[in-house]
Amino acid sequence: MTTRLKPQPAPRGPKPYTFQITWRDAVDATMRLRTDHKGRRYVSRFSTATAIEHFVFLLAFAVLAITGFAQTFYDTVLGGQVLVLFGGIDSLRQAHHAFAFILGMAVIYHLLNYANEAVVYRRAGGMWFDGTDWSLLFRFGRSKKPARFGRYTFPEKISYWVMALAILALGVTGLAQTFPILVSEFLPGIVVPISRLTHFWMAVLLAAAVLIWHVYDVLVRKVNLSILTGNMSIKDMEEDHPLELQYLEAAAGALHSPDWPLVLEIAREEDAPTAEEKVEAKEEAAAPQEKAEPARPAEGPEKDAASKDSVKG
Amino acid sequence: MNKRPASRLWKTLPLLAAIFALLAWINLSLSAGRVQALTIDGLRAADTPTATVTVTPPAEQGITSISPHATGDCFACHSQAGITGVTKDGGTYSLYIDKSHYQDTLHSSCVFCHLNQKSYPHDTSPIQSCAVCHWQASGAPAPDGPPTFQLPYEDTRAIALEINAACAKCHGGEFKEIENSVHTRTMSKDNRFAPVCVDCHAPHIIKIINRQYGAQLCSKCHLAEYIAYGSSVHGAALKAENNQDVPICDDCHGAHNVIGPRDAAFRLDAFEMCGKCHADAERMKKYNISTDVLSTYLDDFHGRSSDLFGKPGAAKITKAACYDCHGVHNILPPDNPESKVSTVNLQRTCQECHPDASANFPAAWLGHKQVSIQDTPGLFALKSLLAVFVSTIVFFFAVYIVLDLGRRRAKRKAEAAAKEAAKTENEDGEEKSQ
Repeated sequence: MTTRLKPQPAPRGPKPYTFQITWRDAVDATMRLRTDHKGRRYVSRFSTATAIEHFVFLLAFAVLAITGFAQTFYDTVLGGQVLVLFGGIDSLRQAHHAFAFILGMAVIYHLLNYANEAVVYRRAGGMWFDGTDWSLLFRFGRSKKPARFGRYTFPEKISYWVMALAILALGVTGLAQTFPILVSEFLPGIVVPISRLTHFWMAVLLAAAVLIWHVYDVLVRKVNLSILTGNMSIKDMEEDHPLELQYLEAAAGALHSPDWPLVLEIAREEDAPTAEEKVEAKEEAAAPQEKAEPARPAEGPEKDAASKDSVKG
Repeated sequence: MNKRPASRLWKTLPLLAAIFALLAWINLSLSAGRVQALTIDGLRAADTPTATVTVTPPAEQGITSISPHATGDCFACHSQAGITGVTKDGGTYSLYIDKSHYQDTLHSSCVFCHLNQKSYPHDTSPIQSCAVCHWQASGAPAPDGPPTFQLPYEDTRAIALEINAACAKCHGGEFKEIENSVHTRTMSKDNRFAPVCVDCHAPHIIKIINRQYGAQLCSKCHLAEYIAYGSSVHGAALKAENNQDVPICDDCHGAHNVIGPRDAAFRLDAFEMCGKCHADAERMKKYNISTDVLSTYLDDFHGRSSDLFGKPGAAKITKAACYDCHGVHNILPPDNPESKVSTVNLQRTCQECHPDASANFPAAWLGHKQVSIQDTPGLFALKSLLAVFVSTIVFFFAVYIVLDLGRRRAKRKAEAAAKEAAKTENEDGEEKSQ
């Protein structure tokens, strides 16, 4: 639910990001910055609907991967066991088709939800690659500090787009295999063997993206259950989504601004803050109201010079 | 009270022993067969024939011209040309045995199988049969032509079924095999004409069945299938060149455990049945036929389904087996325009199961071709591209993760060092302050 409307990718210098926000976005940001009963601050990162959507994807992926690879490797011991578990090939295929339908419905929901966010609420697009995605430079030793991400980190974007590509290809090729007669009425018959081939390789890609990349990112590197709980601690936000945290604090700080819409500008720091800088930032974060002051109403991104870095002030 | 029965038993014992000895002797003398002449005068005197069947047994066999009542020589009567039996329903049954055939068989004695004909007169012979030979005694006119006997069987089939039961005495294994055969099941449905041992293994000329003869054998009942087979690539090769590689009926259907072609088991094992030869590289090399047919079939939807249907839990058996596309008995090579799988006929063949199959549809099947650079260059290119694409992404995943792990390790070390430094600094500070 990033409320960034017109991102200004600035890969060549520490130019600030510009956000045009409405009062509703400020309310949203305020509500997402929360404190638990022990007084620890955290951020509500995902809505319940998103958590359910992710769970449906997870469940469908698990069943489809198991039933799919059991059909490919049916002559192995494990494949045979899965076949027995599902009560034979017929019911296994039925399960595969049923969960493919569920996954398809989830994809349609996802696309409709995206359209709603983008067109009605004008606050979608956090998954697009932008100037924050230079984490490889850090990994390859070309940058001294890790990259600073907004709504989604670089690994999250990679897993999203690889999975999106794989699921789209799997859906199309799966349908072509389920309805070969229909497909070959309009397309050459070779589409069916092409689909078989592509379906397998895309399944391998999806399984690798989920089991290697995604599992490493959210479970091995750091146990990140925010998609299930919806929440993320401030510490993790600072580490993984510093730009989003800055944005939320700035937007929440601007809640009582008299003029709407506002243009917020968030510095795109090339380098992560040092330990001293962090302490500073924390102190400043304790007073978001003050921080938001520099974010002044503006007519457009042309007024960059007039705006300030909302965090550093 | 008890004395009388005991003494009666004592008196009857020698009589019983005598009868037993007599029966034993008769039995022994009969089973000794045709080569043994009878030597007991008493018996000879008792059984002096009033009329004998006019047979002239070959002298080299050492068979006497004495009545069959005494010798047990089957050929004394049964080598007489034209000797006939009449069943109760009026059917005639030749009782003539060509001795030369008999000598060719693997069996050595008539009474091994003809259990009810061990003695003479045969156990089951009706009394009126006596008059056939003893016509003088009955005052009948002399018969013109070979003798005709009244048989105690309902019809000729009953004779075959009675004899057939004797096969089990030695061939228990084969009897076990036929237990579940479709023929036995047909028989159990009150069809007496379902084939039994003697229908295929012709009695009196029982031999190991050779392949030419074997193929013809089934045509006794399955003529249409035999004609279709004769026109197929397999049947033609067998007939024309006595090709020993081609399958005959029993190679696919089984010899004793004949499986019905509509049985689930037959369909499930069909690819193994054809694959037995068609995946055999040595055999196929002679005819320049690809052995990929089995692997490509199993790799595709129909084959994989058929293979999986054989596994536990499967119920539906509807996917195409080899013979659904290639034909059952009339299999022709695919380059023959008459073949079901020739280019011109392929769409029609697909439509047998997929009525809506369009002209594009047959191309969905690669014709048993592997995805390779020679046969399917386009698919091969796609496969390579996908493999490279997916591998590259997975490689990227691996490299990123390894680098990330390295970074995190370095970070942990740096933090630990900083902590250590801070600690020593603090300690130093404390010391200084002290």
